[in-house]
Parts: sequence; structure tokens; C-alpha cells
Amino acid sequence: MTDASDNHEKFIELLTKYEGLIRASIRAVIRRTEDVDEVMQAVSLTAWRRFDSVTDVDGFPKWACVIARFEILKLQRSKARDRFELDEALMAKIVDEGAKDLLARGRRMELLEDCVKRLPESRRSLVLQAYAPGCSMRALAERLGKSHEGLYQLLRRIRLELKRCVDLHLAQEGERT
Amino acid sequence: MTINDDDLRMLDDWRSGCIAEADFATLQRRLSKDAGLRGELRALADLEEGLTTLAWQPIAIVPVSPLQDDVLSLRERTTFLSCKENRRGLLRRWLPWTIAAVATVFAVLGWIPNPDAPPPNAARPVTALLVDEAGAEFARQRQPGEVRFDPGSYELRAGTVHLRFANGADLVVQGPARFNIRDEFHTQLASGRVRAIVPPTARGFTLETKEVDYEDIGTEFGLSVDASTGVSSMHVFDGQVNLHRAGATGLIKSVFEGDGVQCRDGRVDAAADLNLDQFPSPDEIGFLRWKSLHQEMLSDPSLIAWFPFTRADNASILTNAQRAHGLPDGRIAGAQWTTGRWAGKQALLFDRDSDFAEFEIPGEFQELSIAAWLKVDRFDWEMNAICNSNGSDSGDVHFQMTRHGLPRGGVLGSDRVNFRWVGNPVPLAKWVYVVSVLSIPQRRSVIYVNGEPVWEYDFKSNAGVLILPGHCRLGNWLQEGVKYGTSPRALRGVIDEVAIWNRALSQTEVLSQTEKGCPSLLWSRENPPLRTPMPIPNS
Repeated sequence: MTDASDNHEKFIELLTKYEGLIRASIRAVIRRTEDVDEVMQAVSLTAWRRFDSVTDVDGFPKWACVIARFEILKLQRSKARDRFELDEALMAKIVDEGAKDLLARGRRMELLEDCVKRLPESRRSLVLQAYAPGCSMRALAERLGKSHEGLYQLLRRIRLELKRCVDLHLAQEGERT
Repeated sequence: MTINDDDLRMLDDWRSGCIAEADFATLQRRLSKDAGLRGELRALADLEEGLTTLAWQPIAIVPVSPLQDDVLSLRERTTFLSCKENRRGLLRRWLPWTIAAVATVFAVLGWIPNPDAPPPNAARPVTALLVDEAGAEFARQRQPGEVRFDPGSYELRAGTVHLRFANGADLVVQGPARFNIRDEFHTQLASGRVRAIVPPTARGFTLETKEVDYEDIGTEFGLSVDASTGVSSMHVFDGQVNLHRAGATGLIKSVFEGDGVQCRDGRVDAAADLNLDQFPSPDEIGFLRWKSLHQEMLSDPSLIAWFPFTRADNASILTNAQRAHGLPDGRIAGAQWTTGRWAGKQALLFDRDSDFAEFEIPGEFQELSIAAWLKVDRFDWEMNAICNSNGSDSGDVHFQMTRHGLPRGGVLGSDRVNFRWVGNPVPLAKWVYVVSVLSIPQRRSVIYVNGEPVWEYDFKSNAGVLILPGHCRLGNWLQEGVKYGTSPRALRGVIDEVAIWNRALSQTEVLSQTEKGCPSLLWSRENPPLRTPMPIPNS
């Protein structure tokens, strides 16, 4: 196998491993899924083009988050301003701080799966349906015979429950170490 | 600083897109000052991303019944696939650059046995994916699985397919063709015609023939191999292609942009007389697909007018291709001919207040469906016309979009109630399929965008209500006889197809039309929601 294809495989492996974290970093400051996708696409492309310069693969997620920060700002500048968009300095701060805390954030995402499994079946099914790509809240509310507002409140409570569960797991792990 | 419930509520409201302006200002202030709250925001985003990832997993275990593969053609199967929004979203999200990373997800999609391909394995990387096709028919046992092409032999009996390899190379194959994908960099072409477009990431992409291997050093070339003689002809559209003796590494020669060669009985000669039109480009496939459906479209007896936006010798004529109902051609005034959904497909650009095209739909109707493919550049006015009857009389038809891109319209003069927007608006700079369906017997008016209802209202009664479209303008509105003049309603954008049926299309039919006319298989039906709270329509 050539060096180029080795490099390609390594890149894909790292991107696959850390994609969730990178996307979450983008998601923290950008609300629209389509924009998150667009930035992630740009990050993937830029990271691939510059991958030759990466010497420390452990630093890949942090490096990719730095790229994400620039791509987020680039996207925001290229689009008409949304009045509910965070200001640039704040966005940069949120992404930069997040890049310093990747290990714990990665662990949180791992623990989430276990917490989702612990949810009662009806709540688990609901939350996974709500986050399935292409799911419309309105359509889901109609299918479940709930009001839009009612569904929104219910999902909010489930998210809170999941967050508490993850926090509890993390705290227990902290006590053990 | 302590994070309170109000902070968390504002964070959640902001993420969900329903925050009040005052709350947003407070939230921004609080986020600037409080690192803990910024951490909460990240935790919320991490949680949502984690849930999105988990929500994908059930998709991967949905098998495609082998029976379905038996009875569905490739096009039908890809349509079937695209109706599963989850899978479609998955495809869109990753392509093209992170294509290989979807391996584990795609690996569990439907599998059609191919004797040369490896057995199903959840960890198989993607070698190539189907991007688009037109009339593609593969030989049984020599066909791709759903949208993925694994290493193995394929026989395309008819039609054209566009593949994208994991390294980014695009290959357009025109049937009949037989080819064997060895890996993402090597494909053997036994017969047929292909065009390869090779980005820097795929440098070295090689098409192998009986006698010569054609290695692309970057950009674009076309290759044809004669099925009976094995003679290969190659033309470089751009960049450089190196020729090697089959299976050997030694360079025979390099061929550069604009030059062609033919290889016969071990001899490589210059070939200057290749017909370059025989190598279709990726953009042409959607157009071919659309053209192949013309007859089917015209055979629907309820289709009363169809303007495919094909430029006639007289550029001011808007040709009505449906002659069965005797409706005349339309007239173009101001709107300029431009490129439509695909290279080679024509469309009309509406960019000035005076631009429009007009046609006449005489008669009275109980039901009517008006459909258009359009791409909006801007929403300049309170109302932006798609297709409006001239004037504002009872029975007139209005079909337009608000400044937010929310479609609205229907038939004037009827006793209308329960106006509501129930879906996402038309976005800017994206091809969308909009359909206005009016039904007096059902007492309902619905406007669909990409197959999803977005605007609806009901008729209080159906007594005495008729649909009388008469003279209509596309992309504008003639405010003739309107008592109080309103702002212009001129469209800023491109329309490249309009069809009118004398019945109410069902949502299934609208979805089917959407899939048939979509720009490519990577095009998504999904549109982003409104960024502001949904307005409440007035009557």
C-alpha cells in the first residue's frame, strides 16, 4: 500500500472516530442542522487537504476543532445575519473552550448510550424518533397526537433526565478514580 | 455565577429556535460572562449530537427484502431508498469528502448477491456509490447493491450511471458496458464508454483495458472499449493521462489535454476523430433521466398543459408539449433563457419587475393541480408570484410565496377558512418542486414543497365555487382591474418546468413527481425550517 493510501485510511479512521465530537462543537454555536452539515463538510475537506501537516494524531480532534472554529466564522460571515445568532467572539470562545475539554466530552457521549438504554421504552423510542435525521417535530407531534408545545416540553424533560444520568455516571467515575 | 432554571430554559429555547428577543439578549450576556453556562451549552450540544448518532443506529438494522430487489428496477429501488428519509439524510450528510467514513452504516444496507463481490460484512469500506442514473438496467447477478458498488463485476445493459469513488473520482458509465471494480483506484473496462473526472485526491485512478492501462494524472478523460474487438479509444478532456502496457509498469506514452489515442493489436496511434459527445458528463444524467420520462408524462390524460421549458426557434414562445387538450403555447415577455436543473436543460430567469411568461387555461374546473420546478434567488416583495391569474376575480388562481418563502394561494372568491402553514418554506438558491392542489369537492387547497404540505386551507362550502384560471402569468402578476394596487409580485429566480392537471394530485403522486424530476440522487427533499416563529396567515 502506498503512503498516500495509508494517509487516506488514517485520516478516515480519525475522522470517523472524532466526527461526533467535532460536530457537537459546531452544533454548540450553530442551530440549523443544514449549516452544521455544511461546516462539517468544509472541516472534513480542509482537514483532508492539510492532513499531511499533522504529526501528532492524538491532537487530531483539537486541531479539527480549530479548523471548525474558522469554518464556522467563515460560514456566518457569508450568510445573511440571523438575529438569533451568537456574536462571533462568543462563538469562538465556546468552540475554543470546548476544544480543551474533549476527553471529558467524549466520555459524556459514550455514557449517553447507557443512559438512553435506561429510559423507559416509550421515552427512549420517542427521543430517538425525534433525533432521527429528517424528522419533523410537527409531523411527530401529529403522529403521537400531542401538541407541538407538549412534545417540545416532553423532549426537554427527557434531555434533562439524560443529562442528569450522564452527570451522575461521570461523578461516580470521578469518585472511583 | 449560579446557573438557574431560567438559564437552562433560555438555552433550550435558543437551541430549539423559539427564543424571545429579550431572552436572547439576556442569554448572550449571560453566556459571555459565565463559563459554566457555556459548558452547559456544550453539554447540551454533545447530548443532542449523541442522540442523533444513536437515532441512526436502528436504521442500520432495517433490511431490504430480497423480494423487493427482485421486483424493483434500479430507479425504483433508488426511489424507494430515497423515500426513507433517514437513509437519504445519511447519504447527503457525508458525501462526497467523508464518503469512506460511512462504511459501517452502508455496509448493512440491502445486499444483492454478486458472485465476484466479497460476502456481506459490517466493516466493509465503501468503494463507490451511485450518485445518479438514467434508465439504468443491470444484468442480474451483475448489479450494484442499493447505491453502493463494491469490488466486483457489473454489466450495465442500458442507460447511464454516475459513480463516485471513495477517493473522490467520478465515473460516468454509459450502457451497454461491462466493468469490474477492483478497488477504488482500479477499474477494468471490458466494453462500453465512460468518462472519468479525477480530483487530486484520486490521482493515479486507472481504467484498465485488455491491452493498455489508462492512468489519470488529474482531471478528465473519456474512454471507450469495443465489445467485439477490445479496441480502446481514449480522449483527454483536461490534464494528463499516462498509458501503460496492461499489467506492466513501464510508460508507453503520456497524452495531454485535447489529444486522443486508439489502441489496437498492441499498437497505440493518435485518434483525432473521436465523437466527444458520446461521453456523457455527470450533469447530463439527470437531464437524460428527465427526458426518458417524457412519454410517461404525456400519457396522463389528466395533464392538460405541460411546459417543459425547451427553447423553441422563436425564443419568445413557451411551448406547451401536451397537445392532447388543445391548449395553446405560452408567451415569454422579458424573462431570459438560462440554464435549468441540469447542463443542457433550459429554464427562464425572472429578474426584473417586468419579466413574466404567460399562458391561458380556459374553462371551468372542479379540481386543478399546478406544479413548477423553481429556484429562488431573492424574495423582494411581500408576495412573490409563481403562477397567478391576471386580475383578482372570483375563480382566479393565485400561487405565490411570502417574503419568508412560505407559499400561499388558492382560488379566489371562495369562502375560505382555516388558513395554516404546516411545513418549511421554500429556501433560496435550491431547486424545489412546488405544487398547488385545489379541490372543490374535497373542499381543500394544499401547496406542497418537495412533496410535503406547507400551506393548507379549507372551503367552508363547495356551493357555487369554480376554478377559472384563464390568463395566467408565471413569475409575475398582472394587477388588472385590481381596486387597490399592491406592491409588485415579480419573482426573482428561475423556473424550468410547469405542469397543470385537471384533477387533484395526491401527496403520493406529488412525491413521485418530485423524485422523478429531482436534480440528482444526492438532492434532498428536506428544507430548513423558518428561522423566526411561523407567522399567522390572514384571510
